[in-house]
Amino acid sequence: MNKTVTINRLTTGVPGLDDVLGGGLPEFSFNLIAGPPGCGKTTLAHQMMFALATPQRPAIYFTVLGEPPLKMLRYQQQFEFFDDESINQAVHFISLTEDMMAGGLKQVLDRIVSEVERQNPALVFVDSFRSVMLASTEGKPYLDLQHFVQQLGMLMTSWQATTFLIGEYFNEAEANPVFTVADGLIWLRQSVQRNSMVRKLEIMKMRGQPTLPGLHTFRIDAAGLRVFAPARVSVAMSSISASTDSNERLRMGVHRLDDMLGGGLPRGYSILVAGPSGSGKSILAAAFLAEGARCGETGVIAAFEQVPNRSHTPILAKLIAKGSVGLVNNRAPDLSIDEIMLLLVSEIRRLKATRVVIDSLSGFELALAPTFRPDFRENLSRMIAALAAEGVTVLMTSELEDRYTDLRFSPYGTAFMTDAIIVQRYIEVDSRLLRMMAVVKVRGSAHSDELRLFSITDDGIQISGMLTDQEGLLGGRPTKKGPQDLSRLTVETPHV
Amino acid sequence: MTLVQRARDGTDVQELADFVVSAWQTLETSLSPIIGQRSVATLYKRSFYLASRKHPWLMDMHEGMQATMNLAALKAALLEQSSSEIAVGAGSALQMFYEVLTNLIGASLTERLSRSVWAELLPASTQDNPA
Repeated sequence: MNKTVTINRLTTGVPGLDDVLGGGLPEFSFNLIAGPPGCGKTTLAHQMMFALATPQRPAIYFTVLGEPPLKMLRYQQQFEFFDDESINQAVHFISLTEDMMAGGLKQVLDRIVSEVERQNPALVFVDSFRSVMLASTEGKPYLDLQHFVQQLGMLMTSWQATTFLIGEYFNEAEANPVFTVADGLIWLRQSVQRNSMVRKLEIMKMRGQPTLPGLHTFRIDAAGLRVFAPARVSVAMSSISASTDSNERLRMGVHRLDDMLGGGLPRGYSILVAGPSGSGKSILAAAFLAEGARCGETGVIAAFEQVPNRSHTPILAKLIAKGSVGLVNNRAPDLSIDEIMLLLVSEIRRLKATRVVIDSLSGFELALAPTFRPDFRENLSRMIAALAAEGVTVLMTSELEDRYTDLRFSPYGTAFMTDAIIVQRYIEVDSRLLRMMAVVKVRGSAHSDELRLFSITDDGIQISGMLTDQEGLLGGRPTKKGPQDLSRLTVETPHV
Repeated sequence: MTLVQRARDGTDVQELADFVVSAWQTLETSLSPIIGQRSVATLYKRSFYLASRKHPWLMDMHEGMQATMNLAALKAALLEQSSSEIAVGAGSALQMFYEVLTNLIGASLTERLSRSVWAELLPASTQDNPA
């Protein structure tokens, strides 16, 4: 018989937070929610409280000198989670201001004890803890506070109440008795860079929980907080092998391109289509999705490139309207990769999509808040891995500056991250700007090494033959080779 | 039954004054634990300030900074008025309290936190359609 205790994990009601916490909030834990003013501490506390409290398992929200309760009630009811029906039923607000003013920490503790004993709550919130700390520093510094926190921690755990202390201005570098006693430390931050502000959350400590380390972005809207937990790659890794082991190849929807890829794109692969502006990357991406739809597959496109409403090719617009392709087109400022990833994954799961297009990486990078741009490559690599874990086949487009002196496939060093690469280039032949395409890489597969001309017509991309009589195509200004060179000389010197 | 109806029905000054004081006590009892005694006292002062524009005899109720409602002073002031004056003036202060609180935290929460008082004191139309 297993004699170890099983800790019940509470569902916080904050999207994404349970994942970051490592599966929910441990019941009867003693937690600290800290961060600077305006970072969302009180909102987070209220959102969890309204999600968790029931008349049978009520919550008490103690306010201590911090935000006046009247204001708190006024502003918190703007959020959708605020349910005034549950007030005085499942949720009880108690002001400790008078107790604090009259008798300091001792009286506050006594009052908390008597209310907890009287109401037997399952959840207890003390807001704001900063005022408790300030009060403690006036007379006997930490001794009182440490005593208070230890007493409170012990009392709450013994009374089987999951507890939250909400505090401001904690200096995380400073040793603080609260940190030692607390089972969980949830730190909220605001990162300001240039003109953008991004909210981030970190679980600095959560006893007995496999929390997701690092800073996780979150957003506050009318529904409250939404945490963008990073997609977990390990969970679905099996699906990649399942999908790639099948040796199944996907058709790209462009005649001859499948042959160039060695028989289509292996399912579950990621492919980068790199090329200069206007070379036809988005059209190729649309053809890839359209081919999927034709074969009964659904797809998702994350479109960052173009202006909405006049953005998509008619084929793509039809597929989106029909519901065969889901559109992720978030124009919110200060986007994070995790937020986009979450939108993509939820759309993939909703539609059971197998094909995903990100058009384009350049637009994606521009859509991100400046604070995420330096880490774009790392985050992109994580995203590709997470998408692969979903078992989808991914096509990404990448803007390629037409530099004829070097052969680059992407400005991010993303080429190595993808399983396959198609490159598109412009070349000048006979005073015309022609397009050319080549398959550069298909991991673990033979593929064509041909540089083929292609054109864009009303029917999409038409791949034609090679320019076998030309050389130096990748330089953009090919020259004719062999006898033609001589004939050019002949034309230039007719008298010879 | 509203204060005006009670006055019309012949309720005497003492009884009306007791009723008004008891209504404020109920408000304090239901709201103080939630929003704090000082907040309730401040809303009380504000209500009398607003009501005293039409009923200058209520002026004394909002002077000075107090941590609690001074209900003894209120009762003394009420006992100096006629029944109809108590009904209109004190009724107006309670109405103001309801309106200020509604303005701050909304009608739904105001009624939830202090339903018993309003059910007795305010005409139904006020509660349905607060200012």
